[in-house]
Amino acid sequence: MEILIDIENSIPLFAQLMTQIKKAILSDKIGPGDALPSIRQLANDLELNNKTVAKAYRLLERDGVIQTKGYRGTFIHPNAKVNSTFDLNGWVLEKFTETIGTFREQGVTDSEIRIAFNNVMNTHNNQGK
Amino acid sequence: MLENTLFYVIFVSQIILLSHYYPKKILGKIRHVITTYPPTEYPKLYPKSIEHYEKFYRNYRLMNQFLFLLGFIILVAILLWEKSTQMQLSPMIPWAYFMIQMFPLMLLEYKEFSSFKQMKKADHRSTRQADLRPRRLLGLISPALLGMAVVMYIAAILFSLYIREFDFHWGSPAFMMIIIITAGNIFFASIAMWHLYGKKIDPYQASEDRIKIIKIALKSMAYVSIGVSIFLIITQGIHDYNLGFLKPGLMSLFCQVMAVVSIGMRLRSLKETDLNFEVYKKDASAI
Repeated sequence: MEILIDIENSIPLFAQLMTQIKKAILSDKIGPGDALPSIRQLANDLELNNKTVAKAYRLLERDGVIQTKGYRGTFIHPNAKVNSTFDLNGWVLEKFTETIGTFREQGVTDSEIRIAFNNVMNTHNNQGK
Repeated sequence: MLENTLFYVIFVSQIILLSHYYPKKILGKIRHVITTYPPTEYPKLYPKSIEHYEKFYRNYRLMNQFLFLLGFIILVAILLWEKSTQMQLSPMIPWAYFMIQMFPLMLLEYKEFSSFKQMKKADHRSTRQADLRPRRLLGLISPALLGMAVVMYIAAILFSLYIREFDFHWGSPAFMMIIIITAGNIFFASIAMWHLYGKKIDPYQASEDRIKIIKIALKSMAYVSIGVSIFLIITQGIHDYNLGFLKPGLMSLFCQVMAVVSIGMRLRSLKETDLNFEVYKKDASAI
């Protein structure tokens, strides 16, 4: 199973990598339990930075598409097919659209929305520290 | 004497195998590729002009013809020298000749790498492809063969220690032997890692072809490692049982065996028909 990325595409490389792996899962080219190449192997084959591949793998793991099993390597998650259909970024956009729509109906201005958003993000970041 | 005659026969075999037979095979393959996959239809295979490759073809042939002649000159020189002296022939002579015989092949390897580098420079595609299958050592080489290489390495070390009555200290013969064999195996391991995880040197190479080449390279290196271990065991045994007169013949035989399991294996295992040359066509694109 081959994957293809375009370095001149405006879509970030890690996002292209994630999409390609999800497509491979959805088209049954790879299945649950199948091993994936190591970060180093994939990075060298695609001539990308290790960090780019590492980010793609991290986000895929977050999305329940792959599982990392330490020194044994990286494998396709048992529920990868279901989890691959869920578009996290699309869900975020949908929720934001709904919430901002509600705020605007109540007369909240765009700058008030932005200030509140920044405050929430900053508070979250501080709690995270 | 019989042992000298034996050496002469083995040495003639070395001359013919490494400076005639294998170069002829290699030249045949080069000619077949140039004829079957010409630059007009497969431009990506030729980052330099066809004249450049034809020139190298001629030079490679000339070098090997010269070495073939040189081998017989050395043989005549040995015959004359043995008539005038009672000294034993050094095993370094067949070894030194072998190293010279390997020069055209090393030059060929260098030219190949240089060509791949040029291919990469000429490759302006924005797309890159990769195989989603992991490349794992035990998936590409027989575990039994790998195990045998490890076992023979340990056996060579143990034999070296045993034959020196476990006299192991800095600079001792056993110490030097262990250093040499360990360094050699570390070198093979490094090459194996480079093959498995390193960057693709041919930017157009199909994934399947890469796997085929890696399998052959790993198998070849395992056999060379086993051969080196066996050779070291035998030569130490020869030294300790006063069979030193066998060393030159044994060295020449060892060089030929190494060539058979490396050059010969690659020539036998990898046919042009096994490789995907469509990737070098002008309009060939990624998947």
